Amino acid sequence: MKILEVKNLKVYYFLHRGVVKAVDGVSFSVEEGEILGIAGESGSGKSTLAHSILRLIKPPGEIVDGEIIFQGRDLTKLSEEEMREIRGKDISMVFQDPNTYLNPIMKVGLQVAEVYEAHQNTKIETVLDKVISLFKKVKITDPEKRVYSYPHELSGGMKQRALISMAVALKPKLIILDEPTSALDVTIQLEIVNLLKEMKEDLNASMIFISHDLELLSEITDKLMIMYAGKIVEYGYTKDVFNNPKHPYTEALINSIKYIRKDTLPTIEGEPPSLINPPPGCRFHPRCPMRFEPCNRIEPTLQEVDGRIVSCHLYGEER
Amino acid sequence: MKSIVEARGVRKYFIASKGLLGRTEYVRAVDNVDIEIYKDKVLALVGESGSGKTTLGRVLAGILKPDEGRVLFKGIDIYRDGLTRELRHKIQVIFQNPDSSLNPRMKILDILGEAIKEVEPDISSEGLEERAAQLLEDVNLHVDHLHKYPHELSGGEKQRVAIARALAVNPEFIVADEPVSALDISIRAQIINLLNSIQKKLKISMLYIAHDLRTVWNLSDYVAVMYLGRIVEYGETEKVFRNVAHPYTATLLTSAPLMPKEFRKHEIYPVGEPPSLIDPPSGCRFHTRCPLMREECKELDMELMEIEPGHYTACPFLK
Repeated sequence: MKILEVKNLKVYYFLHRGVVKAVDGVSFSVEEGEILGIAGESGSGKSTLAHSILRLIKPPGEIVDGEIIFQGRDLTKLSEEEMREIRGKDISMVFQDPNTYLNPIMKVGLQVAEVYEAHQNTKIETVLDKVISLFKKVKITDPEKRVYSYPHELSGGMKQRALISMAVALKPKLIILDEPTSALDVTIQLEIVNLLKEMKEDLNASMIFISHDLELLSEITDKLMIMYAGKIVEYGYTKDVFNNPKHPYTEALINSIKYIRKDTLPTIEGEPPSLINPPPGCRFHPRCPMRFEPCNRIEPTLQEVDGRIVSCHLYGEER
Repeated sequence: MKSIVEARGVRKYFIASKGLLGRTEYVRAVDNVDIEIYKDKVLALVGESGSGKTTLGRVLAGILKPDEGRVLFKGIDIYRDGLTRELRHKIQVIFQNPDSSLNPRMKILDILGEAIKEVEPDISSEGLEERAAQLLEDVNLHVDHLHKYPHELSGGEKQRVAIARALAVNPEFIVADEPVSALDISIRAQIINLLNSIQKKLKISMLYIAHDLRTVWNLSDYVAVMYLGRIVEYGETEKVFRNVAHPYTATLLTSAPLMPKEFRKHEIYPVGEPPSLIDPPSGCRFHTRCPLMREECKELDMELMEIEPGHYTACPFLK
């Protein structure tokens, strides 16, 4: 069953210099119990996409078109009041840098307890036991002591575990993770990824895992969506995408994470485009090694190729 | 083999806090390290955040005086005897973030010009522009960029300018401290290829500081693995990857999901939390996180020992 369905979502930032089309007509869905990975480089729109699901886009940004259907309701139509009910309870989010989201002068246990207070009107004192068992669940050592610690007394990995405990506290149906491990060391990264997998099983929740790290996404996700300059270029089962990438951009990304000894690494020439003035036709065409006549003229549409969705003229009628 | 940099017994502590009763706490960033960088070769220095790798890099670059120990550059004791101006130019540093190393108020021409004048103070303005243009060409940037400011360039282009500036003074030894960590995947490979080709072409010796083992495998001839201020494993890159001899290195290799099978000789993962540099564990510093820990590891503080020609480890137990 679909827990989330996003249809033709467009999120633009209205700047003096022009309109940044950060997310430009993106559609996808998340099944119950599924982990969807969204990969892309900076400026691909992946983070804007994540924030817009929870309606966290602030001016000059705006959701200009599309639907975000969660459990039968279109989130783009809800009032701020109604969204506040959903945030943290039905859909929660874990951000990249725990330091930005933890209050430095408040004990972490109390910050987690606040989640219960906000949604269930319970007093903080009565939920401390709940917080301690949550800390146990996310494998924070010495949970009885740690609830009284301040954020600066915890390591980066522990802080991220505390944030995860907040995100799972009210047993949400969907957890959005925006680069949750990018600020952490590799050995800790893997521990956090394994913890997230456990939490998902435990809650029978769905997850959207956003990252630029394809290697990590290959480890945790069921499906993978690759974004480039505000658009989907490829979307399918992670295994298929890795074993047999269809879009030249996906292929180049996967080539760039191979282990190659003392030889030239495969590269993608050039730089990601400006989103104010994106290239005409396919947005990847100036960097694409496979480009041909229609690519700089006609924008490719999303189509199904071998059980996955690809946006490339190589698979279209133009060929 | 001839070494260009040789360090013996290097120790660098930072004061963390001064206690009221006169007890001063130190961060033991580098604690009794011997290391050698061979002429025309690349040594990768690998470790997680807080391992002391950046501090050691600065000591070896001649910009941070150690508390103890000697650092020789081409046989001259950098900190005791000092380097002549001419020799100092032979050592250059490339930092992770080009934004903080390039003056935002100077045009690229002036940034490069400043460096060029260091070695050619009497150069004419035409000669200077010609030399600057040549430098940009060496790092595959268009000459048009000479008259731009850093903010008009992308992250990858700025890092190329930083590399061009380092090359301007004809260096013999470059310390590159996480030069690609802040860049997007598609740009990373471009910069690594550039470093690889200039290193070979200009016969530059290099200390490449990184935590990303993929680029280490591509770029380096030798690897030193650092943990809590100590070097725990050192050797030719091929030997360290294929015949890993320290449990910490083994956990780094297994924590990368796409690491090729041949480098996963021991499928072991670290336990617990990283300890603090202020109060490092007794005995082997890795014992609190080591899945293979034995009782004696709490006492035994091993020196590096040679297990095969050109391959050293501080752990006698990983077989």
